Amino acid sequence: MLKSADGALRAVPFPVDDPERIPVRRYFDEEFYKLELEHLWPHVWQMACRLEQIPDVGDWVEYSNAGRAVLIVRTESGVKAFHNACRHRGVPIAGGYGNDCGKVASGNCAHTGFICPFHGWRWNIDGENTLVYGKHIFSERQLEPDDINLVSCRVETWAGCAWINHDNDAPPVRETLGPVADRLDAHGIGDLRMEWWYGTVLPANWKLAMEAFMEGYHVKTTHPQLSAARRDALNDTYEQDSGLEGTSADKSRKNFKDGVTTRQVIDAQFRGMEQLSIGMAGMVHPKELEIMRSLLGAELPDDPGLATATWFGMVQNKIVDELRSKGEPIPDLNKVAVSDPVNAVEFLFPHWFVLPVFSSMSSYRIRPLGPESCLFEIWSLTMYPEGADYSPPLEPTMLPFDSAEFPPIPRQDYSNIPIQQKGLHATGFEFMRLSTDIEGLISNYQQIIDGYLAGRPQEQLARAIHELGGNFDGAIKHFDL
Amino acid sequence: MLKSADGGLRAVPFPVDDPERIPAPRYYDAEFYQAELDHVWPHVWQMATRLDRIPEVGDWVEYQNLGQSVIVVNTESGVKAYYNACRHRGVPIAGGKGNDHGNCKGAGFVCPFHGWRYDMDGKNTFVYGKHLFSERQLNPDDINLIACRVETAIGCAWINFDDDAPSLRDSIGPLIGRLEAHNVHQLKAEWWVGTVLPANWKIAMEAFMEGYHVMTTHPQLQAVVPQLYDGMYKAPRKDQLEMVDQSKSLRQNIDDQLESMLRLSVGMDGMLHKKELEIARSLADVDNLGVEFPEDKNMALMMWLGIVQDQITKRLQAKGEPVPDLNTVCQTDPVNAVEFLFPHYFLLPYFSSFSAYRIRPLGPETCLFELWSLTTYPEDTDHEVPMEPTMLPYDSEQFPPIPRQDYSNIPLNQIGLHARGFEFMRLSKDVEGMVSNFHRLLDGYLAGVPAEKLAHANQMLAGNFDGVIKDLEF
Repeated sequence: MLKSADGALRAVPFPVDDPERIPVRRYFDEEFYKLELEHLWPHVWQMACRLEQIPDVGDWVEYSNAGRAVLIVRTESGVKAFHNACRHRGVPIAGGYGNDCGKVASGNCAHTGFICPFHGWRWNIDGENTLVYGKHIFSERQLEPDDINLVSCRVETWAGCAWINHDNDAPPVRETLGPVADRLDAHGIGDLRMEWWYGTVLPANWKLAMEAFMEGYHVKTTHPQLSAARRDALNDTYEQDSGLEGTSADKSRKNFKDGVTTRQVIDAQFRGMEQLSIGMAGMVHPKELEIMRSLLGAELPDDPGLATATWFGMVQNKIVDELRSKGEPIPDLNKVAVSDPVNAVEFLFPHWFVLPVFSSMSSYRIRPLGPESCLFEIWSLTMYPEGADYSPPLEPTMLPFDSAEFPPIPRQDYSNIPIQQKGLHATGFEFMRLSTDIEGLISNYQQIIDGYLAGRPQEQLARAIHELGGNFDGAIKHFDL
Repeated sequence: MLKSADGGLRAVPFPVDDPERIPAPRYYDAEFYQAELDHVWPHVWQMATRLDRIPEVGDWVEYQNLGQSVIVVNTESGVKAYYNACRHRGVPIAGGKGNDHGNCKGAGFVCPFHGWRYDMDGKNTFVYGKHLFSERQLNPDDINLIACRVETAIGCAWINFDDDAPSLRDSIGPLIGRLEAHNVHQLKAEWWVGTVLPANWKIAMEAFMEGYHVMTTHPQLQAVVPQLYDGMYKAPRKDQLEMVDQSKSLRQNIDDQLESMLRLSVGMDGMLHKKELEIARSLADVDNLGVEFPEDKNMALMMWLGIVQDQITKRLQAKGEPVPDLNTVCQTDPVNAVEFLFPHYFLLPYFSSFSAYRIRPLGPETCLFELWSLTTYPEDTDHEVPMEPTMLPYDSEQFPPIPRQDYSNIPLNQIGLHARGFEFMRLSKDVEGMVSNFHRLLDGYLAGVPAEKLAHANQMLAGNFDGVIKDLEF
């Protein structure tokens, strides 16, 4: 698997030599960006589309990233993907917009197949060439069947999405992502569907845009309404000494203000959830919030810690009961919370996020458009009763990043991200100065990027990617890269 | 003429080793682009300006390509060209923005920095504060403008940075003479538009090197005379092209021809000029032309087209337009539907009017594409020739329909080239030969093949539209 006989790796510019310090040029340097295009993106599993976009046989969508376009097609024999270039002179056989405008080309090829818009060559749904206009004008060797069928791209499905990889030697997507994939499966991630879909172009490096979502440390300042909702009853966990010695009851007690009652704590928890639901226009779905509200008067123990645990258990039970009775495929939330715990944010390397709370989730995908520009998409995902009328959004509603139409929480993040990109250029700002304890995810995924740029073996990289699962707000892990 | 003592040639990156397969990186690789800048552009004849922009003595225009600016001037002793830099500290003596123009007959050229002056023959006429300079700094030859090689033909001024290159006529060959027989030098620009395409300059040009794309890219043209296009591409070509639909009468076939002409004329907003279309339409009533048409419908249609050409010639000549005898010149000096003049100029004839294209690289994946409609005018016309192109976004609805269709494919084509697994263009040996021949001629420049051999190969591009892959005999 080594790239040269003597085991040499490629030199990485501006490497993460000190895990607590991320060199700033990684966020704007042209050469670094080009190396990502060359050595990172063609070797990773990319979330290419949601499967709701292609429910019927023949449905196709185009996914374009880092200058390469792929068509994803639903066929009789499963989801397939093809590199989007006619085998004649290279015109994309469908779509071809690229991704900088956020437009998503889509259609159905069940009857007509694909027709190249330049000279009319045709392919069927399985990528087989079905027509070369004027065959006789070509040499026979130019038209060998294998040579004129579409070039297929590796594709796998997981979590309600199609994933593509340009590298035929990479391990499968689930082996790459590791145990977090199983945990999310237990939460029914594959049963979620898009409720809405927004997109925006952010004037920031793609990594910078993502890193705003890799820790909760920014909440107090960036999203003050979330901590304000709980302030009367709950302590600030980031403010305290994190050296959590003592029993778990001690730790639990540290969360609460002195002398608060159960009622105050539950009200504060509810107000926090309400702010999340409003702030994300989902994630805690309004249907779940209503169920929570109906349990505000429930009988609870006097101990605030015990009461909180009991109350969330009741809430999860009722969400499961009520939504299941409507036909939604909700997993047993209390059971999976214990058997398959997931974090408030789960980052699926290199560019997809899910943010679970109960049964609904928010989701993000980020694609580079240049060293200092990226496309940021947000979805609200939830479950629908089986057999219910459902029509998915076919492309994101594109908004300016400072649009008032974005839900309040992303709007707050989007107000920081572009100015942060500017701050990176300030003289004397040489590196990001990370917290060892809670900004570890940032350091760790950046180290994995270095592993790709250096040309480390795929298996070794996959083992490191496994460590990202569940590490939101976590410590810097030691990687043997 | 060989570039090194041992007769070795330079190594060419991504060479066309298989004439039917053009490696994709040639259209985006930065090293390949740089090699073109180093070894192609400084040695070729570039169409610098149409002469209708500089009709009077003293008229000058600026031509810029790849960072080089040249001033082309009409003088008493013919068209001259100068590298556009003051001999003092290098400021362009006129223009400098790429498309400037003016008249220097009265004032000459005055450098905007320190006021040094030059006349239309490039001679320095004024150095402000001569005494400030050492004498040797102001030797006359050293402070006159540096002349750039320039030749004129077919209504254009052509420049070449290489003083050793064969002449324009020896480079392009007999095609120049054939175009002159069609009075191309008498044409004037009716309109001129330009656009920036997000595509390599060669990708933009290759969309116009074959007619094989018409069926899909311009379906409205195919639809009205399907037998014509099918006869050229769908099935093997016969000796005699099937011009007509045998199931239809001659009159019906002529109506189809007229509809086809209409779609071309509207589609290009020229090329087949509306004044020519009008004449053709006036001849639609075949039964009352007083002519006996042969039974064979193909021959009858050819005869009708002869009548159309005859009438266009006579009626436009009667108005004082310098139209040649179209029926004579199409026998003596046949030209193709598209004529490519290497490296970057195209002429598209039909009857007496033409469309023209010029393409210039702006970077590995971007180019400037200009379009002209050219036609004849009576000598005493008050038509004002456009001095600058109207620049439009490439997807502008103001472009005529046919270029708009091509411009919708070209940027896509550039994107598709980057798709994984797309390693090369897969060319038809029979109708996409010009694409291959053009690329292999480029390789000749990149490798440093002797200029005479390059000129010989260049001449093979004449009439090669829709043609076969040729042995360029390097």
